[in-house]
Amino acid sequence: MRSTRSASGHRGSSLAPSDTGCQPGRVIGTTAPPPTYVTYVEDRVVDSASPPRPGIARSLVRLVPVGIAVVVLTLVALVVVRAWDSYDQPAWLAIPVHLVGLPFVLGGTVLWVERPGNYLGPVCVLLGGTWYLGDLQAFDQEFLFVIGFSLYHLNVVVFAHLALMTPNGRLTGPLDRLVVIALYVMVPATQFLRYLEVRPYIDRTTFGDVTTYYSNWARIATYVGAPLAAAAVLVVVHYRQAIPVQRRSFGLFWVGAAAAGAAAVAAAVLEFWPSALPQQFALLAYAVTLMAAAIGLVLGAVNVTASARDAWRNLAGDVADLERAIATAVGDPGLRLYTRDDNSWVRWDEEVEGEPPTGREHARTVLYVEGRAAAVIIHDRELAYQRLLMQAVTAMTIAAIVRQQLAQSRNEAVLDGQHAERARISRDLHDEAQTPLATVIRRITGIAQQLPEDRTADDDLHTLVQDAVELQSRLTQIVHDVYPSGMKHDGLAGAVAARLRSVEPDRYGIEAVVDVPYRGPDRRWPERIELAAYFLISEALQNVIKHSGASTVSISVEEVDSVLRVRIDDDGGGWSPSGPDGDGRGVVNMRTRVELLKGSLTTGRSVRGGARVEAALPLPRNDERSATA
Amino acid sequence: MNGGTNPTRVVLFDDSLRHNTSFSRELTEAGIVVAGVAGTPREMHELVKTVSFDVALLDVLVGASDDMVGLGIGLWLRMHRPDIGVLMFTSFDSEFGALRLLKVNPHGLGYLIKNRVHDTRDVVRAIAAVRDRRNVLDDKIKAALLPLNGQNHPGERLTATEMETLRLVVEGHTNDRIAAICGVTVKAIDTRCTAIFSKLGISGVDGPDKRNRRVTAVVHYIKNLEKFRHVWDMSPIEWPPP
Repeated sequence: MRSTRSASGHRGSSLAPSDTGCQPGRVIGTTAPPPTYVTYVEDRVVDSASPPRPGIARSLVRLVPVGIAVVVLTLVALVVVRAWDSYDQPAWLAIPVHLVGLPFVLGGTVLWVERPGNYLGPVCVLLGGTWYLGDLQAFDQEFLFVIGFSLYHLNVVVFAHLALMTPNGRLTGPLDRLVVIALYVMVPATQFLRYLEVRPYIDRTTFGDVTTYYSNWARIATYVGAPLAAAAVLVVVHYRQAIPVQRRSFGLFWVGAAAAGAAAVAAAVLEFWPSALPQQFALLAYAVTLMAAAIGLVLGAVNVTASARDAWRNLAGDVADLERAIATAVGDPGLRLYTRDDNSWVRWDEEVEGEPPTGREHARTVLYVEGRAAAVIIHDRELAYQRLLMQAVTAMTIAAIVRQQLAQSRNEAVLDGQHAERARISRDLHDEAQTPLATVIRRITGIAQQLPEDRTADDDLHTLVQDAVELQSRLTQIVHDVYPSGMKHDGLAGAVAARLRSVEPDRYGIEAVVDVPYRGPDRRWPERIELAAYFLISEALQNVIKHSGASTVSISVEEVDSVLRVRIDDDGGGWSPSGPDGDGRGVVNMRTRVELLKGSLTTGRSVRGGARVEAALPLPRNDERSATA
Repeated sequence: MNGGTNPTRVVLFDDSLRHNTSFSRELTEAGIVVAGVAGTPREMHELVKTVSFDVALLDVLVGASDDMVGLGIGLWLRMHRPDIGVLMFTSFDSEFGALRLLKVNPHGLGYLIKNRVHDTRDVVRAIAAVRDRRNVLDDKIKAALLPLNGQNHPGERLTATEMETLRLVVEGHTNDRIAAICGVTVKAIDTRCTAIFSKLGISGVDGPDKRNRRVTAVVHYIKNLEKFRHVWDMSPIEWPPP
């Protein structure tokens, strides 16, 4: 499975956001649904939730470990049956001791099938097989006896190898490799050389025991203790470095392995005890703990139901911090979540250059929504093999992302609808009221000019014109308030300038200080955001004029780190005590509008003691306008 | 009204039929000949092709559409028919719109905001002025354009080397440094700065902090000139209609 997939060349470059064809294994045709996620370890696909490939190839790939297991078990059975009479142990010890290999072979097979990208399975099967190699000494054929004699202790080496491979399924450091190679060379070599020396003295009836001759090679073989001790130390180091999810996965294996090591040491020491019974108990403990370790390895690696359930629970609701929720769910505190924003990856609202960085110690899972890479999770490599957990987490993460996208597009639709409605009302007011009123005023003025010198009528008309002009000024303010008609041409700065010309704050004794940057038509902020900022300024300006008693108001707009900051300060009486911190209707409206755009609004005291309204409106990243900035 | 010679001929372009009707009447009463009235771009195009007139009164049509077609007509007329006066009579309260029109042709532009004109005689006076190649701008728009210091092109009166010097001043360089960058003497830069200050209307001598005029020049440059620069980048308005 692994080999067929890695052949398709999923290198890191295919992760570029622009590339939507990041498909596992093969080119997905038009009929096949796209994958929901693909997990990479060092650019090698280790897991994928793409639809299972039909046909016989996949089943055959899965059959390889099963076939090997069947062969191994058959050979083991043949060996054990032949050797059974040679055992000098009591049955209560011989049976458990000869069962130890089975859980390793069977569990290893399961691991091999479940985690094809991981060497724990094959090594486990190997360990199960080597457990019975010593029994070959019961055979009459010399070559089988030599194999049995030389490889009698090989299972200890394979076990050390297995222990050093946890939790990542491979040897990690050069020291690990050195220790394992040393063990693989030293143990069979010393035993074989010993065979050559002691061959004449071997008592075939007592299962290869040599009691009449002590070989120097046996003394040399004791130096094997050094790499073994080193391996034990390295296993402890690995345990200490492991993340919670790994400790949870391999907890039983590590405990079992430690206990087995202790039992082995005890058995070796008890060799010198006058009675055989204590040593036999130690050997029994050794066998039982080894089996426990085998079972722990398989359970931990395969059965992660509880974690998957946790993931489900953590991610099912509305999640504010998705990354933390996933990290908690899978127990990987170093997990990172990158989501796609147009053509870039974003984490914690920060854009990253190029691809999300994946260190060698991490695996990478790409989540797809409608065939497009929508998110990338960088996580511990161990998680790559927690298939059940990853399936739960990816499904829930995709659901959460889609939910957020839906909410956002719904908000934007609401806002756009509101803006369209305002534009229509403004247009109607302009056409049906503002323009006719201007005509009426000019007509009355014209009539007044034509009247003969009649003071009273002139005064009346003059007052009428003044009233009408006042009415027109109000109407113009309302039209500008409802919608900034010139914004398409002039941008936010032009619209605010026109707004101030219609409001004329100086008529109310208020000096307006405006700091809104003028930007060219190609560098405008998105219309939706400019409109929201405009309405915010407009509303705040009305509040200042109507309620504050201020003498100056300052309006500033600036872009800081992809956020549009809009601030309106005055030096009036501040927020009235009746409305707790400006929780009046106006502020509620402003806040709602800002929040629809994922922004935030704060009210407070300005430096000069008056009221302050400040809004932060997040701007889309990485678009054309910032490129030209 | 027009000195007894040929009456001024105007055409109206506004999408409001009611406005066109009553406004035509007002103008006619004031002695102006309304040679044609258009409510759509197509009608206006016909008028431009077939009718002779001195002044076009244009609405920008901000209310009805976003494509600024009235502004497009104004720009086209000022480019291709410089003999015709253009009087924008609109609700589109935009110093940028006015500046675009001035940029194409610095003479004979009127820009009045409909709801700030309360007396038809003001329109009539504006028509006469525009016909005589003078400019009549709404007071508030004129105030908004005041930082341009009477120039239609920001920084136009500064020479290329002066512009370069000003840019370096804005970037915060000292005269010594600017002299090094430009490869001239410090004295030459001093002269250039004096010329810049004088052209930008920054008078007086430096205050005790010695930075006064420099800072003023920088603020002037940023706030008052730079903001109009994007007028140069504005996309063209399609006119005449295909």
